[in-house]
Amino acid sequence: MASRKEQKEAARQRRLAEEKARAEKARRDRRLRMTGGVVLGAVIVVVAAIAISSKGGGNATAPKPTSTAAKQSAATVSKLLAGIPQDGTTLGSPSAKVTVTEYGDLVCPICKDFALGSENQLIANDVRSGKVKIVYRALETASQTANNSMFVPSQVAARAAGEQKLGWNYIELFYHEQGDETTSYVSNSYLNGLAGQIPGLSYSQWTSDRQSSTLASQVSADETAAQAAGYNSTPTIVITGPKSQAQPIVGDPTSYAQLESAIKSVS
Amino acid sequence: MQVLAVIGLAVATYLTVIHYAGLKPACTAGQACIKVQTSQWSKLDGVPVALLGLIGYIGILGSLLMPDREESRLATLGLTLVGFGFSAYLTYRELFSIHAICEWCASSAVILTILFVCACWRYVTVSDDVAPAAPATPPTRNRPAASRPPARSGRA
Repeated sequence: MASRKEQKEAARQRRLAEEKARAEKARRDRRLRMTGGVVLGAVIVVVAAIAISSKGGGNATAPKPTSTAAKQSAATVSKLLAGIPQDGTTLGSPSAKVTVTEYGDLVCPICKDFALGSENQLIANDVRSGKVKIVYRALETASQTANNSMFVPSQVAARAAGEQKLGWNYIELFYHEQGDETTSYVSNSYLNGLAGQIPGLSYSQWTSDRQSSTLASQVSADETAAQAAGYNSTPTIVITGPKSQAQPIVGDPTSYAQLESAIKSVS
Repeated sequence: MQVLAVIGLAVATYLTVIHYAGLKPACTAGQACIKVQTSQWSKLDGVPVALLGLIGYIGILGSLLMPDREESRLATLGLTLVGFGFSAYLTYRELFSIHAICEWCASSAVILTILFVCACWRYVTVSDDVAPAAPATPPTRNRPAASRPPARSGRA
């Protein structure tokens, strides 16, 4: 039989073991709650980010040319460009001292960001005042993902509108109503629908001009020029003035101020 | 892990700088990097994902530099889980939507995957060598006599 001292020691050991087990359980429970909370929070953040990313990049489908949204876009574009001289894909006074050449792809979402952002400010301010002219040139990038068989037809469609001095109306409208670059939304009927939205455009002449091999060769010439200059991204913005040519801006400029600064440096 | 986080931070910094400077990324796979970085998934609600990556790596590195406690390891786990989850989604987009792989983005995705696995391992093994910030019960042996539970009389 164990002595009283041994019994007390055994009881103490049991008590210590129980305390240790309780502390361990409390720690496990606390850890489980913390881990669950953090993992749940992380999952919520990721799911929210994916949801924003999935819907934020572009329209799932482009608006129908007869829709209210399309009519609003056409009105916005007409207001932006009203009274500004156009010739082919050049917008602005021929005597403007500074030329901003934009290499773009009509289905490129970053080009859309540029068109609806700092380029619109550039048009409203510097192009309208006669200080700057913008030349749009073709460079295939996003069309490779969307539907590369429609790259040349879409660029020719803009140039065919340019034959009626409405090329920039077509370009701007395309960007305003741009669809999801991963879908093959650009078709001949889509291009026709855009043309139908431009006030003052002769549809029959535009259709006829679209068959012009000269316009298709202009698109090829733009691509060749871009390759020769080492440009392979859209938009690539080249600013040339009386003094010099600024370092090309690749992608959407961070702000209108960046464009202004580059224009000032070459003026 | 700190070395990996620093490498990831460098990659994200590079991508952020070239985005805002309007420069072309150095890319061995032709136009793949540019195609990815000018796609609609290169921004999250207008914020470049490169900048989000930069902020994420700063957070991960910060959590790794904190005193080694259960809470800091859990913070690392949470941050790397977010990074791993979102970079997995972006890699999916590269493969199945953009059909181009940007090597900078892919390297960041690999770094985040390794960091996440390491963070899991580090957190799972936390009880072996790291105590939580505030132990729930101080060691009994060092407890002052006054706080000890009263000794029970009779048989225990």
